[in-house]
Order: sequence, then structure tokens, then C-alpha cells
Amino acid sequence: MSATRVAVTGLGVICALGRNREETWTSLAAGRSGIGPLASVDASKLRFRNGAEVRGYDSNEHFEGNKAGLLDRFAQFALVAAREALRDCGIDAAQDRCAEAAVVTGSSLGGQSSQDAGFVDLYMAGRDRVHPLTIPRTMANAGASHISMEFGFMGPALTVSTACSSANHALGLAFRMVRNGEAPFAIAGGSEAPFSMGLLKAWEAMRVISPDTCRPFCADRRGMILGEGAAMLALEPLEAARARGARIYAEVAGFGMSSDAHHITQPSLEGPLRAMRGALRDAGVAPEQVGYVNAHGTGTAGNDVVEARAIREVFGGHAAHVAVSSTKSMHGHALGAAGALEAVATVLALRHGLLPPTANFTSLDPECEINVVANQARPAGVEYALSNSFAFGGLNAALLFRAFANG
Amino acid sequence: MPDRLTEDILASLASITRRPPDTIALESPLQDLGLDSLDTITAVFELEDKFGISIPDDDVRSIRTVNDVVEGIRKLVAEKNQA
Repeated sequence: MSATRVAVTGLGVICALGRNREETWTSLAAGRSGIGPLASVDASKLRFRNGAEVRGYDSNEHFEGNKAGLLDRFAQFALVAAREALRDCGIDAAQDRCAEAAVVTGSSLGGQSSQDAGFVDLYMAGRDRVHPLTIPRTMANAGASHISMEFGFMGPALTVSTACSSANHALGLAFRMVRNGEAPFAIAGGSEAPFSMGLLKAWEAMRVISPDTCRPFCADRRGMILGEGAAMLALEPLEAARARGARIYAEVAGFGMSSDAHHITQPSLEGPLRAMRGALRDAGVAPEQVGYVNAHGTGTAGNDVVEARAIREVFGGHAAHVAVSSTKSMHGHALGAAGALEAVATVLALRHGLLPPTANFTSLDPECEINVVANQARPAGVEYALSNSFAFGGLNAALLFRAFANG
Repeated sequence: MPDRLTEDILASLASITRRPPDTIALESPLQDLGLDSLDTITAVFELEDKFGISIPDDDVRSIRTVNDVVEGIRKLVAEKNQA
């Protein structure tokens, strides 16, 4: 019996590049960055000025009555993206096989802005109580729970928190659930809303945020730019998708994960290498079959050199033929949502035969000898593409996607 | 003889690295003292508090040796005193 193939049949996204899939892809394809001056916090108190915020977002357009008040911004984004993915895949959530559907979300921070607001009340405003909904707003699984409730999905539902790898781990677990027959359908991805003063001060203290913009793999890169948003993917067995005549964007072909067991913030070479090789092995795919890597590519001194080295080592002589880009240069580093935004970028790149670029690109760091798609999207018919996430804490997750050619 | 500012910085680095101050040479790379990137930002954080200054990210990234720390802080303290 051949293994179950897993299809991506729906995409939902909200981020600095757009408030839905179409807007986001238009920006990605145009190489247009969503990074700009921070509007949601007073940036004069920070050492950096820019972020990749979701602009023009009005919760009243998405939630009726008091519903928005129950949801932190990160959970609102999760629901907005899940609704779009559901609509997009054309499945009727009320139909039978959805009752056992899985929901797997990634979030590094949960509803930290609700917690921050509570702390402001307590320690600055001199109040002796916080809002009664602080706990349900703050819990990291709020996104998964609200998706499950809204659509009546009663199968496995959980949230993965592995810092910047959260969404890739979430997607990988959902992929395996569908492949193993544990869930007939899954909504998976990640969401994050990191723009509160308390959290931004913590990032400032880490000294990894760029004072201007994000230039992954460039000689003059100065760090990462934080982003926010959510992306959700609808996953189901390929045969089920075909049987109902669904649009199939791509297949999830493999998933690999590893731990550096090395240092709490400095990446190792071995960990990323083993995650990428694990994804290829999982799919039975040779490195030479891969044409594109959506890199973790944070734009920090630490990540980019190590990731470029790991890519060269995985692909060997084929490395020069593998196009690499970091779309974080456009949608920012959305932490626990990053892998999901990048999964959407990778899936759409395969579907459209167009590889989104690394924006803001100046000149390649000689220590990052890889084939970077610089500033302009590159047309390319690619069969397999990797999407990398490597987290603080040394936890790595790589997803392998395959173009779907109606075959 | 090192001046007062140098002595203060050496004392701070000695306490962070848990080694005697007279074993820390100005030309020592921070890496050789066992300071990784997290230790370095922690040391800088403490020195900023001690001298009432703020060290820009790019300056921290370019720090290689103990002397880079001393001269960087000397410049910022002088600027602060002039202001």
C-alpha cells in the first residue's frame, strides 16, 4: 500500500504584505516589503523604529458584538487566516469528515499584549486588578481553541510553542496526522502579535533588531525586523481532495526536525543540517530534486552564515542551482507565525512557478555563498522546495513541499 | 597603570567571567575570556547601568577585545559629560 499523499487545498493569511492570500502574493511576487515605521507603539522609546505591522486592520470587520474583546490580537489573526483557508479550500465544515478535523497552531508568545496591558494597569496605573478575560486572551492555545469552536472541529487540537519554529512544527505535526490517517482534514499554521512595549524592550535588549531594515545574507545586514500576522493551511489526503474536485495548491512531501543541543541562542551547523536532511529523507527525495529554499534568513549575524553553510552542505555540488530567498525581508520575522507565512510563500511559489525574492538586497556576504534570489522574483519551474525554521533554543523544523501538476 | 575607568571595566568583566582582574589583558579578545554573544550583551547591559550610558547595537557588534569595550565606553562617557 502506498503512503497517503497530503495536499494543501486552502490558504489563509494576514500579515504586513496584505490582509488575504491574494494581496500577500501580489506583494511577494513584486518584491515589495511591508516593513515601515512602527505605528502601534511609541517607537521614540526604542532603539529601532521599524516593524512589519498589519496595517488598516479593524477587528469590527471580522468579529461581531463582544467577540473581539475575548480575543487577543494574535488569536484574532489566527481566526481571520483560518476562515480564509476554509473558504479557500471549499470544504463544508459541517460535513461529516470535518468532525474529526485537527487544528494545530504555532505561537511563540500567545496573547502577550493582553498580559502587557494587565501589567500596565497593575504597575503603572496603580489599579489593583486586571481584566477578567486576561487568562483566556493570553493563553497560547486561544487561537487553536477558537478555530476548533467556530468550525466544530473535534479532532486533535493543540498549540506548539517552539519560538521561531512554532509554525513549522505545527504544520509538520498536522501533516503527519493527515498522512497517518489520524485526522481526515487539518487546519494548521501559526499566529503572532508581538508589538507591545514590554516585548519590544525585551527584543531591544537582545540587540538583534536592525535599526533600518532586514537584509538577509547581505554583507551590510544589521539584524532582523519583527513582524506580525497569521497564516493557516488546509491539509487533506490528496485522494480525498481529488475526489471532491478541490483545487490543489501543492503537496506537503516531507518534514524533518532536530535539536542543536548546543546553545540557547547561537545556532549550530549540525542541527539545521539534520532538519533539512530529515525532511528530504522523510519524502524519499534527493537533494538534486530541490530547486528552491525559503530560508529562515533572519538577517542576523548569527543565523545567516550558519544557514548558508548548512544549505551548501546539504546540497553539495547542486547548491549553486538551488535558489534561496528569505521572505522575512518583506513580511518581517513573525516569530511563531513565521513558518506559516513562509509556507504560504513557498506553496504559492511552486504553484505560480515564480520564486519570491529577498528584498532590500545590496551585496552578498562572502561568508554566505548561496544562490540568492535578489530583489526581483525569479520565474522557475521547481518541483520540490524546502522551507526552514530554526528557533532560539536550537529547535529546528524543515518542511518539504512538492509542486502539484494535476498528476 | 590603568586609569580609573579601565579599572572599573576590568573589575566588571572580572566579576562576570569569575576570574582575577589582573589576568584580563586589554588586548584579550572577549571570546578568549569565555564570553559568548549572550555573555557580551549581559556585560554591556551591566556596564551601561554602571556608567549611565547607552551603547548602540552596531558598536556592540563590532566589539572584539577588552580594549574595544574600554575605548567605546570612554568615548560615550566623555560625550555624556560634555552634554
